[in-house]
Amino acid sequence: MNKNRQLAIEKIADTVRAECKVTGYGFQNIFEAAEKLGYQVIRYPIGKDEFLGFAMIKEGERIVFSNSSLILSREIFSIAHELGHQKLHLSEQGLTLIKDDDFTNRDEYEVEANYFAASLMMPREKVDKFIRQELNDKSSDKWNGLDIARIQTAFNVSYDMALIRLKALGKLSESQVHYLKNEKGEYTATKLLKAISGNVDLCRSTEAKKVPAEYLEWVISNYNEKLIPRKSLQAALSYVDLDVEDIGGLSEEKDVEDDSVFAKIGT
Amino acid sequence: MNSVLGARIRSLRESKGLTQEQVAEKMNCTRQKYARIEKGLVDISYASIITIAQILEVSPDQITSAVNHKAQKEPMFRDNGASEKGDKFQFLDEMINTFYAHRKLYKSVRQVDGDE
Repeated sequence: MNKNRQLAIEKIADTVRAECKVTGYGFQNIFEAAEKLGYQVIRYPIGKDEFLGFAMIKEGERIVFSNSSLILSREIFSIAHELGHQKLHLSEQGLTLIKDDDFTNRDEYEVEANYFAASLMMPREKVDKFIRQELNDKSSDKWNGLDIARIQTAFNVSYDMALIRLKALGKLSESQVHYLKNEKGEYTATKLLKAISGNVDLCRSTEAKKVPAEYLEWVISNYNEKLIPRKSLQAALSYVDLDVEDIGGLSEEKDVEDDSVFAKIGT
Repeated sequence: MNSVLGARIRSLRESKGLTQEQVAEKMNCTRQKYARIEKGLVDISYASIITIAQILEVSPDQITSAVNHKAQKEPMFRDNGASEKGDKFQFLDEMINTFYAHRKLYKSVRQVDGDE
């Protein structure tokens, strides 16, 4: 990736931050922010050893998916990475799906999506500001794991990502990264975060099962319009662990013939 | 589905004795990009299938028939030996397709309402 491309990606990331009105250091909630940008966000716990996420265009809608079996800080990064694919690589006429098995893949698109995610989560000037104003310009050779934990909490990133980004921005040398990794070995990131009352949730997986609200709206509305049998409603709701009984205000069950147009869906 | 197409393209390419580089060059794309197609990591447009078919000197049907011949429904969890990664993606894909089928119905009803 050449310098021009880097700068172009940084600009796109800045635009996204502006659109999401991120004024602090990190995103308050990147999942909500992505929805506000018009993406359909899906989160599902498919297992720790499974793929991390994907970006997809479907019938003109843009979908980003993240695996919620991973710890939250990594899941947040997944969404940022998938937004990168959406902004940089997907188009109606071209690629409509990119699936990510791991983010260490060195292929051009992966490197670019990672760069986008890093620029989005930890923009250069915000990192500078944090070091100046929050760490009192403490020189980086005096940093310890607690300082990294503070950066983690401010930017909502994983310990490792904080180190990678700080190194990329020239704030840390290889040997400092090595030292700070050992620091993490001595305490875990969770302990470090606890010690500074940071965001401990970053180190846990949420196991969230989440689809956009409109998905459920379509289904419930179709049921209320008597277009689908209760069975289809139940099948769709069960994806997000809901029962028909959980939904209030449904119209009375009426027999919908199973050989209706819709019988092949969600059964 | 993409992995089925990709695998078919790969076997057709190998039977022609071509390398990924050679095909990628004819397609005017990078080898990495082409490799993603064979790995099934990307959606492939019909236009690309036609291009690849021309390069491999086969009919597009020879590529797409791979999908048609494959049993449509596969069990969510196969016995060991098969990778489950595809299954998880398939599960999510089916979930999205289910909701999108609902969306189509939802929109079609409103379309009719709007025309009245």
